[in-house]
Amino acid sequence: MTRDEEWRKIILSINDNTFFDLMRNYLGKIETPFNKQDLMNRLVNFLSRADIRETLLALIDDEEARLLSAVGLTGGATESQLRSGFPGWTYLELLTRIGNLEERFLIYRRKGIYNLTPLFEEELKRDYISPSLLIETGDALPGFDPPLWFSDPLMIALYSFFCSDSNLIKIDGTVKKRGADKLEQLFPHVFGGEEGRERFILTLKILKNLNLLNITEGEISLNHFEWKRLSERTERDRYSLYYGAALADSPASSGSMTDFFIRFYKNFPPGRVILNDSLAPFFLIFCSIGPAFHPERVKKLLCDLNILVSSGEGLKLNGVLRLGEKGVPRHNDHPLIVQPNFEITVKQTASLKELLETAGALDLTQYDLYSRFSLSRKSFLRAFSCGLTPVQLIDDLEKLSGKEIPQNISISLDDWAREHEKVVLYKGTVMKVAEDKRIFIEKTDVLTPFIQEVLADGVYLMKNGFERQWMDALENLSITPRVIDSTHVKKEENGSQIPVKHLNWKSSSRNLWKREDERTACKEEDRTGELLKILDRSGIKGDEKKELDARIRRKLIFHPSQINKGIVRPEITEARGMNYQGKVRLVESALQNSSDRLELTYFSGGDSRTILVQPLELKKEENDKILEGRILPDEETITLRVSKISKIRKIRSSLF
Amino acid sequence: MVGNSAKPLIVQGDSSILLEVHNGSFEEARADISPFCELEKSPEHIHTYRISPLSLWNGASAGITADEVLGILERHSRYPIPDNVSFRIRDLISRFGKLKLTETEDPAILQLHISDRLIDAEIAASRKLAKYLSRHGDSFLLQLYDRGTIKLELIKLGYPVEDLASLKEGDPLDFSLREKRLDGSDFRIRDYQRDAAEAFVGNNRPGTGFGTIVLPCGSGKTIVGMTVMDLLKTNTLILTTNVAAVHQWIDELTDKSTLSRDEIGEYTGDRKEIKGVTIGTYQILVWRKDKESEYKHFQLFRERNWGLIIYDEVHLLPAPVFRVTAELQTVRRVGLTATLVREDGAEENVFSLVGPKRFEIPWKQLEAQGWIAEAICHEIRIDLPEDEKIDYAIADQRRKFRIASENPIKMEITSELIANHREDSILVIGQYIDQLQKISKALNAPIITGKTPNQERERIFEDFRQKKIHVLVVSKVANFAINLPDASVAIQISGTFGSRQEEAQRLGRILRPKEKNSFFYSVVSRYTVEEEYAANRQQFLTEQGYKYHIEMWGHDEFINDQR
Repeated sequence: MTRDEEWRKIILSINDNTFFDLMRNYLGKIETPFNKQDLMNRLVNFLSRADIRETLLALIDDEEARLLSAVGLTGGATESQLRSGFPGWTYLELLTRIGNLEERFLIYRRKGIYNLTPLFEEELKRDYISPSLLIETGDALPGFDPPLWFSDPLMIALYSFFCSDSNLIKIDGTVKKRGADKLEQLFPHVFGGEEGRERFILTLKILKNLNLLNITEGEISLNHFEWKRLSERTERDRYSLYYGAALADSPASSGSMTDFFIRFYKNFPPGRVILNDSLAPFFLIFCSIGPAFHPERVKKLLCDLNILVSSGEGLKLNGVLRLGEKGVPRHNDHPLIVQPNFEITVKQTASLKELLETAGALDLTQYDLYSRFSLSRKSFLRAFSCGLTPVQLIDDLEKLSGKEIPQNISISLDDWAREHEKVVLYKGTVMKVAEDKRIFIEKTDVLTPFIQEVLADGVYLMKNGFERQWMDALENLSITPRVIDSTHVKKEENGSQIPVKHLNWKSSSRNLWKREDERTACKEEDRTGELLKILDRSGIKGDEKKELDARIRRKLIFHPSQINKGIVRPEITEARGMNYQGKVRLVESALQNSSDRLELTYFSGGDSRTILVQPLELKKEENDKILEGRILPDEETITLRVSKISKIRKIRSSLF
Repeated sequence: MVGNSAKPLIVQGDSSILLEVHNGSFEEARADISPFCELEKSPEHIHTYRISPLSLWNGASAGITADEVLGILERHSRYPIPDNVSFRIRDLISRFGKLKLTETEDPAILQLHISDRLIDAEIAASRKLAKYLSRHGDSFLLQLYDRGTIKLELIKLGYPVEDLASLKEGDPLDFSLREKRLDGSDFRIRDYQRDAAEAFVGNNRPGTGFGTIVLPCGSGKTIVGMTVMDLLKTNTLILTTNVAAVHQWIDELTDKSTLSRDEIGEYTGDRKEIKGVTIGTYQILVWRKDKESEYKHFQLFRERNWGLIIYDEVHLLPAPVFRVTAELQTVRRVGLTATLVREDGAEENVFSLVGPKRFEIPWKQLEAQGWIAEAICHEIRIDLPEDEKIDYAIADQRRKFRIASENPIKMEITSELIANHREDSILVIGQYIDQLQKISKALNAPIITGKTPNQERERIFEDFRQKKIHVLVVSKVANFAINLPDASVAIQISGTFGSRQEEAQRLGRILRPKEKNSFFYSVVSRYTVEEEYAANRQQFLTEQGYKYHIEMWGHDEFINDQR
């Protein structure tokens, strides 16, 4: 189905009252018998006339062009997205504007998403739609940008820190005094003071959203597998994931906020600032925001993370952040320095990918521009217990430092490992196989890849992380083991993956930062004046005249041929007091028209309260009717007895 | 963050500065930052400096401004200077000169001028200072003998005092350094020794004449002290750690200066002479009958009109001497040390009461220049005997350390090491007298402990110097200030837990320059707490750039000759 056909189908499917209101408005009084398809054709013909098109489009003012730009540049936007893109308008104001563009057939709605009407799309895109209408930019001022405090070097330090200390948080989730002191001591410039504590809470959120750690009754445990997976991603992906997780409310929304962040980063005008009020529409147009998006909160987080920094009158993207296709440009130097006093200095250029495993074997001394770690027996044995061998660590340290490591360090590592290995505690799954079954294990290769060590005759230590595979292999051998301890099942559950969408970096490449020529000023006022004079001369009176007057001002009537007697359907918009049936009818009529909202006044706790509601359902209950709806703009649900409502006013912002 | 890797400095957020040794601009940057930074450690690849209040105020007292400090840092820094560091530098330097101490017409009274109203109010409100200061118009008056105490308290509050009150001129002394030693060989002061002395004396301008000089062991700190004496030519009181050190000073002075033995007073347990140059020990100064009695030997400070006090091994200055030093702020005073590391954290008191660090030079720099011997350090790890392993396992921490320290296998290892250094003069140094006596007996080598009479001690030292004996067993009395010019091997068999200072001082015994390398062996019981303590002990030296070669020795292994 073409978009034109889709649009026609949607118009034809709207309820009859609205459909005929619209037809009468554009085509005049409709004589029976009528055919909806025929009326639709006549409407298209009318709107396709050159003079009509020219007038209709010329009546678009700046504010409308902004809204159309938002709809056009997003390629379709929901009401809530538009609401977050225009935080300066009240909800009702926004609804009125959307409804007016809809009744003027400039936009249409499909499954809750507003799009440009195919009939005018080409001209709108050519002459009216521009990002510069929504997003005001300026030149960024030169100067140093602050460092990004959440970075790979911080992650390296955090990994080392959490490996050695997991007891920082109280059961209620706040930071213990001891924890705060330790953070202040080890991360004085990131987590020190009041601001630092907020940063730490944000840091925990990021790590939790990335499934890198769990906090159970105040005890922090790391998901080493997830850290490893994260470290293996490209630098560009990692940083996007960090910042996406910072913006997300939960692990579930982490992936979508990562996509958001990537779009935000890629589309931010280079070398420019975006003025404060323009940030919300920028998010809307370029970042594909979701339904529960709060631009102010996101802006604050981006500022807290130093991703957005003040520059002149606006905010610019921190120049330190470089997430190009090739990643952050790297120095040729090595990321760490190993000194004979067992001190390891990690440079600012270090990446998580290179240093994760090594960091697990070190104790953080202080996080700074160049962070200081120490290698001790305790820190090494911690990593050794997790499988890091002295040879591996020595290799890594030599590779990362570009130098042979001091002899006293290498010999100490070997010696510590040798001594430590003399008593071994195995944590994992042990499979004990009776003699008659051993033949299946030993004479087939099915299980061999999953056996880490044969501890004794018929006693096998199984490899961690392959639980499902070895269980399947046993099934294939027709062996169903008796599971005495089911911890392997739990482990498998814990090893869930980071919920990250595939990142398509090429999908958003708009860069429309040239302000188009100023459009010719519309002679809207003259035109409205002329139409109102014609209305005066038409002899139409009373409520009908008032409605036509309003339609002229809403630009719904823009051509003299539309001013006709009898095109307006008289309608009651308010019911109060004892008029119970009137109130019910108003609710029923609002339910038929998706753009209608109800202003309800009722008594609550002795006080009169007025709210704006989008009606959802009217249910019968005994002798009363129950209205279910959503309070706007917060969208909290509400249930009210119609008998308890003292006044209902239908807010109709458009013919829809 | 993208930095300019051609630049060698990294200014950290905690006001420390990392300086990359292998960078082409290393020397230039080091020279530029030295006036306002303190060197903290200088291991192989990257040196750490610190911008401390004292280092900045030292710089400020020499006329350097905050803009100049920041300009130097920016010129050499790889990354932008953190804002908090820039702010701190400006703030701290701006405090210098706001408090000035001047003389009054009454020589016993000094006047404290404060140019900032807020600081004035803060000081006026300080309870600790109230008993020392009396308001006098816009300023405060204080007693001359409270000068040190007031300066110390004000530094604790974060305000340095620009001390413009002149120091007391002591009685003159006819003193010169000689060009020839007693044996007729040439005597020449090395450049760094002269630089250190001149940095202290500072042309006698206000704000100089008190301070600390930090030089490696074996680099000739005594010569620096004598050079200061030569520059000031005034009555001098020299305080040092023990009688052997007193005698060493006497020998040095008679060998290299115009003083004769008769012109030098010895103030020790044995003799109580007070002359134009008097050398005493800290022990005698702090001796008293009982805890309630006064320190009667403190009178020594007032017996003569001293123009200079030299605190040798100032890192060992006992607490009571700190107190009397606080009262001696009008006298020029210099502290000499190799290791300003106090396990009690009292380094600040040394800086405040004796004076700030005026000169320091890294150990490895002097080694590279040939002024101290190149020392090769080994840690030899040996197993505990099988029959001691159970005792060790069930002992408490303190006992564990003792068992590990007194591991009898150390005796065999020491013998093997000695056998491998037949031509060298060897010191065997340890902590426990029983252990040392056993070793002494086994090796048939003399032993010196705290109980060895001075005369016998001198005789043994002389035999050692004369190479009549080539192995000497010493307790911790030999940790400091013993001049053993020909010792080239030290074997450390036990020590005071993790004392960094002791390790460095013991290494210092073999650092006097010689034609061959020196060897320092530390014998440690493997898989015991002694390993951890050894690692801690080695920290100071590894931070100075020394490397320890660790070897595992079994019973039947032989020494690899490293020479």
